[in-house]
Amino acid sequence: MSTSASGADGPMSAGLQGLAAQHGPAGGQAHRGEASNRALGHPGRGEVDVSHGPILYLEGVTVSFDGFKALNQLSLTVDDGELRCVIGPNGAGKTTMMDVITGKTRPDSGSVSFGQTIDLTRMSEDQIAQAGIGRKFQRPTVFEALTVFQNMELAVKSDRRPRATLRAALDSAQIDQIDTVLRRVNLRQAHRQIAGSLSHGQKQWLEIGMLLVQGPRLILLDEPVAGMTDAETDQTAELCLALEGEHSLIVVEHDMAFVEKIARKVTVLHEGSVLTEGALSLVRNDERVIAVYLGR
Amino acid sequence: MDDALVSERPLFGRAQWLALAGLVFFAGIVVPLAHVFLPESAALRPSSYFVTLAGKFACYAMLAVAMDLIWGYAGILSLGQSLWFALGGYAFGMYLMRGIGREGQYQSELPDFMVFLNWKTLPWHWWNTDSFGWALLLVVLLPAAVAFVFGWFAFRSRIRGVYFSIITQALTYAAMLLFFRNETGFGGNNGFTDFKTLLGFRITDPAVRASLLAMTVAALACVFVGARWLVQTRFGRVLQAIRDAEGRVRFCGYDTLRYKLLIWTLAAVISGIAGALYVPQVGIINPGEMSPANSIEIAVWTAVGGRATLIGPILGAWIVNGAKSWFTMAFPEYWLFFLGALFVAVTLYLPAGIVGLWRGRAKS
Repeated sequence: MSTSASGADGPMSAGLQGLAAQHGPAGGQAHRGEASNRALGHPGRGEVDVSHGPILYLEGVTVSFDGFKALNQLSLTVDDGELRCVIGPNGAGKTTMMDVITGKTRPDSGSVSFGQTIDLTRMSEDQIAQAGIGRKFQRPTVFEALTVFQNMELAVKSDRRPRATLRAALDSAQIDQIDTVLRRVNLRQAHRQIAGSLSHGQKQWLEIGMLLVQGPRLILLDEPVAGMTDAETDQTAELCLALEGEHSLIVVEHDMAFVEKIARKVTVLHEGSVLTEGALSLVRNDERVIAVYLGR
Repeated sequence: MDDALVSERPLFGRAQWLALAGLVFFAGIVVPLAHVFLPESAALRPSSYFVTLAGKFACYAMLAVAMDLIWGYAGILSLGQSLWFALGGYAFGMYLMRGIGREGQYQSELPDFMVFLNWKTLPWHWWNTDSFGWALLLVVLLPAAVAFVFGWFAFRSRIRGVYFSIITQALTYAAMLLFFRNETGFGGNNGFTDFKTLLGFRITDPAVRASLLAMTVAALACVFVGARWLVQTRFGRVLQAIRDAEGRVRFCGYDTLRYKLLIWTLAAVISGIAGALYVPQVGIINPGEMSPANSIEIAVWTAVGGRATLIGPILGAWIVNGAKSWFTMAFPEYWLFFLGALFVAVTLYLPAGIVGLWRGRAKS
């Protein structure tokens, strides 16, 4: 948690920390206050086993579309609680990588696992989401005909089976959780508004809010600040930092100013595999990275 | 200012309940009683034509509600909805055919068309069709089973949008061709008609006709209130979310296949029940009921009335059918052209249908 306080002072950061503390994954099933607890604790059934450190492993993942290798022997690990930025030129395979992790695309070869034990290549999108991986799309995707609150209601962690949704009513803990998240994403006032009438930036925030109440262990953000104003971009950066440690995050972003604000460890993808990895300052001065970005 | 996140909203407002109860009371009790007990000569006595027409329109309204559930709420445009209607109709029609007994042209235990085909025994799928309970079971299970299997394959393969619509259209067309064949054992292109009895009563008896209307109105009321309840549950909101962004719903952790399959099958069952109520009132069922044009008509009612409003599609069904009665008498050749033009016009200029127009007026 210490990392989040360092960069951001003022009322917003305090609020964001509160948010992060309250909205740990699994909606109160377990205390996730300290990373050390998690590492030592014995994972229960269906729990993500992060006893070795990483929460996500990709090993030798290859995906090809009509002969074009979108991912080529991609190997990557992300530690539990880490905030990882993934950058790379267009066509480097960033979105395909997200598709593979979330079950939208099946890899031709290679393995993808969530913690030590959960094999993601055998699961459907909804099973992966229930296991604790949340994803924000590149283009803001919310349920346009529903109100802001109803969007959150569908996202909040709950029994996802049809029969349960027939008689489902939110309990007060869930309502409180939605209330808190709505305040943090500045949509509390707009809770009765139809989501389709929100501005582009507000939709981005709503989608992030939906992700948070879903209670994922790992959050994938695909270009989270696309179309946001500078102020909104700053708030998103603060939010990402506040979530670090509580959730693991993978952020794919083109906006280098944003990456600079949040970057810890950066992975550079190129032609479907990892070109280099490390601190942003190092990666930036890497000859190969410069060559790839400038097309030399 | 009321700022609470959650506010309980009743299923209907007081005025809506009153209007609904009034309509059900009038169409389901007053009209049938007047038909049975007023003397033939009374000016206010609803004619058999009127009672049958009211029953038909109530069946159409049920079809419209089913269509609204899958298309308006879940975003699945089925152009094969008349198939479920016809399957329900045929399932109950078999029972009615057995009810003819020896009163047919050939005075045989077998239905006339079987005698005509020189069949000596009932085919296997007519087993137990003289049982009323079995008929009711078939009315529900037959559309449900076919819809479930079809939906499972289609939704699992993630067939969506216009592709799905075309396949449903092909499905009902294929079924129509199958039912046209004499060998299928459903009376070929003549279908079933000349019904005599229902549960031992004469089917032409005014009391039977009146009871059928009362039951149809009751069924419609149940379907309407039930659908209204369904779309106000979280289940209903998941359906709308699937309509607007199915991928997002999956990434929220919902298995959308199950939701789509459930609503799809439910809509087929409602349509089947509507068909089963339709056949004894109209007195005939033939493969023409499965024609692709019929299915498209159901979509037109829904679009004209206003999708995802439930009440709109019912109004749409009545208005379009009213127009059809007049049109097919005045310009019988041009009805389908008119129907197509109506669909295009509504899609382009009235995307929210009549109800949308009315709500827009109310706001401004």
